[in-house]
Amino acid sequence: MKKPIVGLLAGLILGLLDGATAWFTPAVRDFMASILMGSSFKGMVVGLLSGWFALKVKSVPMGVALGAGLGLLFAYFVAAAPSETGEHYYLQIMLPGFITGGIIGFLTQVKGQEPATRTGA
Amino acid sequence: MKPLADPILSHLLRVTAEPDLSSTPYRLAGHIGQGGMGSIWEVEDSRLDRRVALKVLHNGTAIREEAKTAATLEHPGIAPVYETGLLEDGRSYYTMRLIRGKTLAEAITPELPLRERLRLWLSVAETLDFAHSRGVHHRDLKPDNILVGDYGEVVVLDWGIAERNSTNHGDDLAALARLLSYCLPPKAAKPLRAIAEANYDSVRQAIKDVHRFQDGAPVSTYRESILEKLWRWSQNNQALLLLLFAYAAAKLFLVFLRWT
Repeated sequence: MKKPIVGLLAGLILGLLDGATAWFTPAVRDFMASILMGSSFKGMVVGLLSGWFALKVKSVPMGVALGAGLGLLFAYFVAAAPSETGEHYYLQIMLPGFITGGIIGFLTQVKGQEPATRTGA
Repeated sequence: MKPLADPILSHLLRVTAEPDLSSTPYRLAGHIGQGGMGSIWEVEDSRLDRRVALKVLHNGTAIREEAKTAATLEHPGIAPVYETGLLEDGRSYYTMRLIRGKTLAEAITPELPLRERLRLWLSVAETLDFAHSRGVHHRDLKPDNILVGDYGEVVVLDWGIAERNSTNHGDDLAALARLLSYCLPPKAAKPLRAIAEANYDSVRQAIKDVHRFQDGAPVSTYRESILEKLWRWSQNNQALLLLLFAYAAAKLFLVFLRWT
């Protein structure tokens, strides 16, 4: 399986799981569907970009750092968007998003098919 | 008649053992070692102005065979043979690359890290694997016959009783297993000890298992318990475990914030 696909799947699954934890916040329980969709979409974008990066750079620390950075950035976009309740949940969205991004970055580095190396004639 | 004193006797023995190099382009520079079949000397090659090792044997046929065997094996783990010849005193010799260093027996010290111990063993195993692929069977593998050079190079010496055109490498495989036991620290991991005790069909299989161990993968000759599998997995995925732990901690922190 190619690394961007690994990133896409990891992002989808981890995004769904991360979004599902919102169920423990009663105030947002009515908006679970949109939270799950947003969280999984965010995870997939982070996964796709981390997977593409993993094709170019073979480094677990750099992959984790990039994934975490992208996770933080996209989590900020989600948190900054106006919610149905009118409140912003920066910490609640950005902190887990940052770590989830790091996990996605790690998975894209260690899993998936390595790009073919060029050999001399 | 008064018996010769020990220092005089040892001097005479040394002088008579010294090779007569008058008909060769070599000048004696020192004694390296003494074996059952001959002696090895450090000599100066006046033509190229370099030091080489010169091995002298009484048995001319044996030394030519040994030189021929070593010369057919062009590998970094085997000292290259430069030339063979006959001394004035009738003994045969051959010269080879001079490697400064210590024997494996001297190199394996209690504080030597496992990674280095395995590197030394793998170098020997790869040399032997190469020799086997050329149909040569060393038959005398032991820590004293392995030299670790000053720059970390590992050279398998003494191909004197090696057998050519051989397909039976059982002795070498057993010796290589003993050598791995010798190289391992007393508290080596169980999979490594299993490799040292296993009966492999070829050196390549043993090498593959040691590489698997180094890569954190299971080895073919050791059945792991569930706990050992989990432990190996956790060792291979420390970063992932750390991230999962951080995620759980972050979630708990958020719950704590909401609760307060």
